[in-house]
Parts: sequence; C-alpha cells; structure tokens
Amino acid sequence: MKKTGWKLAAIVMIATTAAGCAQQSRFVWGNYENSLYAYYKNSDQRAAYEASLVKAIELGRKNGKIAPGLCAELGYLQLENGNLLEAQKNFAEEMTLFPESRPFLSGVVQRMTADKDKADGDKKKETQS
Amino acid sequence: MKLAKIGLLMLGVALAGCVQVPKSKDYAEFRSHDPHSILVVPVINNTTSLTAQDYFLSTVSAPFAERGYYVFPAHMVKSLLEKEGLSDAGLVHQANPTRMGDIFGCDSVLYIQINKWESRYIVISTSTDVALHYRLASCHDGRTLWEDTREVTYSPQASSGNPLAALIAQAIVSALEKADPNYMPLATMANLQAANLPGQGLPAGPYLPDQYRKDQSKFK
Repeated sequence: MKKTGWKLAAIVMIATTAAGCAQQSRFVWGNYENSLYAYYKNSDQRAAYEASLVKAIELGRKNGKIAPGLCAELGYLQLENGNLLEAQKNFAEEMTLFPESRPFLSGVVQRMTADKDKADGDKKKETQS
Repeated sequence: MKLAKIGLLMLGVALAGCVQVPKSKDYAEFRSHDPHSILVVPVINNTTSLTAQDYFLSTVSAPFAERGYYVFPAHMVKSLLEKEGLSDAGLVHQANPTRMGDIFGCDSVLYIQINKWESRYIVISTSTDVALHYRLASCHDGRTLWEDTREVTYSPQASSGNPLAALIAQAIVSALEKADPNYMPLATMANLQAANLPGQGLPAGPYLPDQYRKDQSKFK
C-alpha cells in the first residue's frame, strides 16, 4: 500500500496542479485524448478510438457540450471506412455546431460527393458496356 | 530550521505553477486580430524520441479548445496534410500561415516544437522532462499573435518514514518509469499551463461568452 500509495499521491498532485489552472470543463471530451494516443501507439486501436468518439459525442449532445472537432474526427474515420452517408451527417453536425469549420468541411463534403458521383458514373459505364 | 523553511517555500513556489507571476505578455496584436479558430498542425520534434510528435498531438486540442476557441480536428488535419504530400512538419511550419488559411479557413495556426522529451535515470530516481515552444500565427496576415515556452518535470519523490522502505519504493517506481515513461500527463500539464496562465496564456475565446472580451485584467 505504502509503495503504490505515494506514487498515487504524486499522480494526484500532478493532476490537481494541472486542474488548478483549468476551468471547469466547457466541452465533453470523453476518452478522446487517451484513445487517440492509443491509436497512434498501435493502429489496432482504431476501432476503440472510433467508439470513444461516438460515446463522447453522445454524452456531449445530451449536455449541449459536444467538443470542437469530435464530429469531424468521427466523420473522417467513417469516410475512410467508406461510409459516406454517416460521414456527411457528422460533418454537417460539426458545421452546425461550429460555423468556423464550414469553409473547410463544406469543401471536404463537396469533394466527397464529386468523387462518389464520378465513381457511380464509372460504375454505370461499366454495367452499360 | 530556517533552511528547511526556505526549502519548503521554494517547493511551494515550484509547485504553484499557476500562481507564479512572470511579466505579463502584450496582447495588443492578439486582441486586434481576435482569432476565433485555431488550426493545430503537426508538431516539430527537435528531440531524439522518434514518436514524441505523434503521441503529443493527442494532448493539444482539449486545453486550447477549453479556452473558448474552435480547434480544428487534429487527426483529420494531420492525415489530410499527409495525403497532400505535407507529412513533413518542417515544411508545414515553414509555409506561410495564410496558405493554411486558404486550405482550412482558419483564423490562426498553432505551431508547436518539442525541445525536450526525455527520461533520465539518475542513481535511483527517474526524472521525466518535457519542454515545448508554442507560436500562434494569424492566417490572415501571417503575424505572430502569441508565443510561449513551457518546461515541465516529473520526478517521483519518496515520502518520509522508513528511509530504507522509501529507497526501495523509489527504485521500483524509477524502474517502472524508465521502462515506460508516461509523457502524456506532463504534456497535458504543459499545454494547460500554456493555454491558461493569467498574463501568459490565451485570453478567453468566443466559446466562453461570459469571459470573452471581459478578461482584460488577466490578459492586457
């Protein structure tokens, strides 16, 4: 107990020192930092990162405290997964919550749909020929 | 006795990172630009740690967004920049911030350099050390709006009591720290201090409406 006890005390001290500087949380981040860190450390952790984004956004939505960037980060993972519909929904939510993201994300969505139309067009051509 | 008191006082000051009052920064440029959004770009790593920059990126968004700014999705931005052939952080940092403004529509770019990221094993104690340099530049005219340097150290200290038990405990913790030093709490602490310290950090942004433009006493 003693051995781990003061290590814990040291960690708590660091945490409180850091917390002393910060105000009460304006946004809900959930496990965003840790899961992104784990994902960078090991790419097998991608699904866990995605799940933690979903959870943080759900929780944030309840309190009207969704953190900036989270919907876009989730949308980006879904875009990589090929799930364009969900991706577009999340980009739209980010743009509604944070208009600052609009110039960037509206461009991303435009390119997404252009790419999709092109892909659909190619597919059509293939089936026609 | 007197020495012990001074020592205690010094320790107190060192711990009270939030209370220390260095000269306040000049916020005229920052205030006149009034940035609403921050683009966090990949970090320059000046250390020998091969992975510091990736791990570090996960700790930046929250502390700066909590100051009331829209912080762009850090991982998405990093990934897109890589796809555009800008995986080299050096190139991104050299590029004019207005170029980032053209791509992302951001008001400002946050450039961070990691200057120290190390765990030193000294006899029986391990000391973990992180030093960072921050620069926020305007995407509208490229000017520097804010700059800061932070260095944070974590070294587990044995508590008093049985000196031998404490020594052994210290050695165990040191060995643990050395095997897998955890930089993340330190990096988070550095970012929190950089963003929050009165007279040093960032004035409250528009997403903190009750403080936005009302904190001139803390940030002149």
